[in-house]
Amino acid sequence: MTENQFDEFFRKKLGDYSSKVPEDMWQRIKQKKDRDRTFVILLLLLLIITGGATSYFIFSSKETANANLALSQKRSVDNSGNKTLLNKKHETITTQKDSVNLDHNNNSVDVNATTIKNGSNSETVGEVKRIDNKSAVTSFSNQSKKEIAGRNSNVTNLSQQNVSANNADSLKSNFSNKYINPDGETALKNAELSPSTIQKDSLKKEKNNKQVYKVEKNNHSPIINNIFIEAYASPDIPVSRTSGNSAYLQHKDSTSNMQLSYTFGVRVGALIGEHLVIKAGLQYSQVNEKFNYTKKNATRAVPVVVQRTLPDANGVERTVLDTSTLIQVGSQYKLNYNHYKSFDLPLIIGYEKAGERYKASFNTGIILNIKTTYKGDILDSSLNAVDVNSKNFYKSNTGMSLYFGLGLSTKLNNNFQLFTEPYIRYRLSNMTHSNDAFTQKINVGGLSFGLRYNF
Amino acid sequence: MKRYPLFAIITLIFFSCSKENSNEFVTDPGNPYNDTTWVKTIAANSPVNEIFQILSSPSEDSSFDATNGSLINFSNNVEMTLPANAFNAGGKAKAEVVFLKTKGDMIRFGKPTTSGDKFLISGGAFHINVSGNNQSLSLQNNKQIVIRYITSHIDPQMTLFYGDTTVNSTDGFTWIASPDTLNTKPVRGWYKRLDTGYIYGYEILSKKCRWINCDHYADFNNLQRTKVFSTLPANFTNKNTAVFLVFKDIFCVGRMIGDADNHVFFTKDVPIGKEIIIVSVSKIGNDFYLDHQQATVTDNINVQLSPEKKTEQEVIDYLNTL
Repeated sequence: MTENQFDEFFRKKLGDYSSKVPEDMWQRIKQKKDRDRTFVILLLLLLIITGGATSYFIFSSKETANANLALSQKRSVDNSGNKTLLNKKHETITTQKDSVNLDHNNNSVDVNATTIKNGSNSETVGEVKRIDNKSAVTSFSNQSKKEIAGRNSNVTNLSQQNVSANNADSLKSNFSNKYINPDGETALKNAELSPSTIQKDSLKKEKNNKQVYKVEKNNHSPIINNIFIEAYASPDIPVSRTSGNSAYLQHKDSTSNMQLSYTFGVRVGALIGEHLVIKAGLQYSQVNEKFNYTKKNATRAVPVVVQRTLPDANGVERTVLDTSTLIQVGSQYKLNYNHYKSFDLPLIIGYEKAGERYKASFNTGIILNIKTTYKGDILDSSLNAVDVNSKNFYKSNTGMSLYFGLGLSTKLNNNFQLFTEPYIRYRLSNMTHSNDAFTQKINVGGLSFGLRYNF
Repeated sequence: MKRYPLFAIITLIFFSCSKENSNEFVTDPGNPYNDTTWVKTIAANSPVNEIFQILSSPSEDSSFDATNGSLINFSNNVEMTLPANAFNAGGKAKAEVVFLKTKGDMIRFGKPTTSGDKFLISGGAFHINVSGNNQSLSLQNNKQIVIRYITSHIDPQMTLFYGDTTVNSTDGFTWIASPDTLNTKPVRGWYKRLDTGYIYGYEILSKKCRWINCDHYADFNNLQRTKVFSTLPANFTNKNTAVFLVFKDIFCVGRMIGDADNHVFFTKDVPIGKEIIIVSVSKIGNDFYLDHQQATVTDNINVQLSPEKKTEQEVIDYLNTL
């Protein structure tokens, strides 16, 4: 037989042969498709939330900016007729221009030499006094004739005071160090602009003032400012990734379903510069898993005491108590809610971009597991339900995870912010021991809600 | 401020979710493990009767000419002489033989060595079936088959018992002494001289086929008698379990009777002081269970057994050691 004949023989015999598809193939494919679909839906949901939040923030910021522009223009127009606090101050500054000495080289205002006059009244500031936003509100609104000076005050402080005094919206702002208020900066800019220019073109002034403000602030803001503490809680959607023996996994996956889980914790953070944020804290996470186990032909042992009467050959009866075990066969239906509890140390770095009322942020970092405990049941290699701790399947320290989050926050008052942050926690290592019949990672997608307190 | 209640509600939802675990076991009434009832009369298709069908070894057969008769040699040094024209049909026929030579064989076939309530000491039993044209043949009057086999010792008290399968007993079987023992002695010792020495055993003259047994009634030297009880866990009933009382020093096996009222197995008239082994063989579903306990008979002794699951071969292997 030549080689061609040999091939031809097999071609004829096996040409129409089709191997059998395993009966559970479609079921397995369907399960995988369902898992993939769930993951995609979660991802889309996250993108929608993130995109919506970002869009809202941007849209909201533009509207606010437009409103400020309109307000500024209106105030300029009304400058001559209406004697508002703002206009009064503008007038004072413009008429006392020579008395304000602005040192552009060191970006500071010589407070001792600064005199701010309001209307016909004028006083010389003789002492160094720092005024924060809250005091500025009072001092400018109710005591417009008081002179204000900042101790070694830089342009930012002066600007902030004016912002607080002049813009009612800005009084509610919690991002005092980051927000730029055109009206507030006007006072500083007026020192170097001619009166006619200020009065005629307030929009131009604001633009110029912003530039000056930014230069000043970049050169003089402390590296770390706005230290805060935040508490948060999150509903989590865990996604389990398993691999290993396919027959075992098929049973395990059909038995276990991830459930709504949660995380809560506390973080302390600080703003570095204008946008960079670092956070660290302690959090508790609980992954819930529904363990729904059904076993046909299951057995259970029930201790029973059987009382027997033993009549002897003479008809005398004696009673014996026989303790034994009754084996029963039936179906076992076990419904357990497994809990995988972990204490973690989140180390987060983020980038924040602030608007007037809202602030968006992107956060990333690592989550270091301190300890993880497990409670519940799991299938053993014989597909029997056993205590999850009896076989030492899982690690007590699950290592490191990556964190990605997109946050959106809004202020409640001067100190408190409410924030929400969709996030993903991706595990870098398996939660199971390497010698187990399967490996498992539980990644988590969540939506944090929290409260931040700024010191 | 409207956000505070919302935040509180969300927090409450996440931390108030507490779900109850459950572990329910529903017994299957159709499963044989859950049938713990005892019966007064054991049905033929009960699991206990399946035990003997499964554990019994197949017969050994040989063809012969029923017209001319034949001497047939079987394994275990069993030889059977079939006289000419001894059966109700001539021509080609087939002889099938089962030799029960140990106490374990008696248990495997469910043929304890008892006649009614009396113990028999056996020298071996046979089941002989002769057939022609797929029909059982019976011995003609005044004809008898001769069976010779080797034993370790010869008991001159041995006589012939026939099996009675019509009796109403636990096994539906008992041994009945052969009535023709009055005229001729159906069991005799025999020997043969070989080059290596002598072999000896029993020669049985039987006027019937089917179950025949070389026995005699046990005497026990007028020892005081008592009842022996055996109790098993609740899963083991007289429908699925057969319990045997085996004498250690003699070829004597009794089957213990199931007391449906008291859920206990017992045997009457057991001589006190004898060494016995209580053996239980059970079949629940497709599983075999076995336990055995040695004991010295005392007054109304109760031997507790705890059968364990075994394979069919493990059960057979143990029975072969008896």
